[in-house]
Amino acid sequence: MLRPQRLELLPSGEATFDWSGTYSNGTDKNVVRARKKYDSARL
Amino acid sequence: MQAMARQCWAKSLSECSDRMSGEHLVTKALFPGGYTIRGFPWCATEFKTVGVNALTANILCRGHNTTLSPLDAAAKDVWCVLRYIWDLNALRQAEAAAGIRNRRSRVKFRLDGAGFERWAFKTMVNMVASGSVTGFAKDWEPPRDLARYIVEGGALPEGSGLGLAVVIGEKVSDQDYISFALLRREDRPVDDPEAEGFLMGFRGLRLAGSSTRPLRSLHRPVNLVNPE
Repeated sequence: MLRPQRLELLPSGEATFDWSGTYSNGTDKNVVRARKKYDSARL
Repeated sequence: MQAMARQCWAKSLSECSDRMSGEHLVTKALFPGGYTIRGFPWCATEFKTVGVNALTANILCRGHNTTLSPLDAAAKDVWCVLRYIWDLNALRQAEAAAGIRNRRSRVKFRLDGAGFERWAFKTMVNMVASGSVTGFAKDWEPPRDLARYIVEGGALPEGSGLGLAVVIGEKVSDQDYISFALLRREDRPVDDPEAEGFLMGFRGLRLAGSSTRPLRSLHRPVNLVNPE
């Protein structure tokens, strides 16, 4: 099963996925930053 | 579209709450301003612009709908992060073009990939259960194992799940966009179809999902430049 757990933007402008790793309940600060910037609607 | 009343597609898993709820076929938080859509039975060939609450169907009880809301949050996070990345990339390119040399570091985003995968299959089930895909019975329910996976988590058969359809080195564009195409099981008669997986455009990504077979057996693109 393929699960894109981590998405990484490189200085070159490329984005990569890391299919391994673990997830810890929405606390990633960069995800929170992106969510706050664009999330204008309730789920 | 307010579809006619149907039963909760998760009712085989646990007791339903008393009331049905209007499930958004595509998570409403992805398109807070509404949708411009086509391909549904009522807009098969022409684009129509509808409000955010127009694309709903009574296919989940309130309880199961609430249980599934974290999956919508997982999809929203992926949506926001992809947009954030492209906006950040555009900013960096503009700065470079203007001769501004800022120190750039890697930016990492840890997302709920498992939740995103379950959201994608939830969207597939929503499409079929709502009658948005032709050929399925009005009382269609997903296979119990698939419903359990979506609602309760766990694992799909080895090798199946959600994957990306990309070409190494491919450059993708980013926009507020979703497309969906159902993949049906090949071993079923035409008059008794079963949903197996999907091809989905999600912003700039092309996703492929299979609930039963290994992904590598599911999708063998003829045109490698455009695998869809």
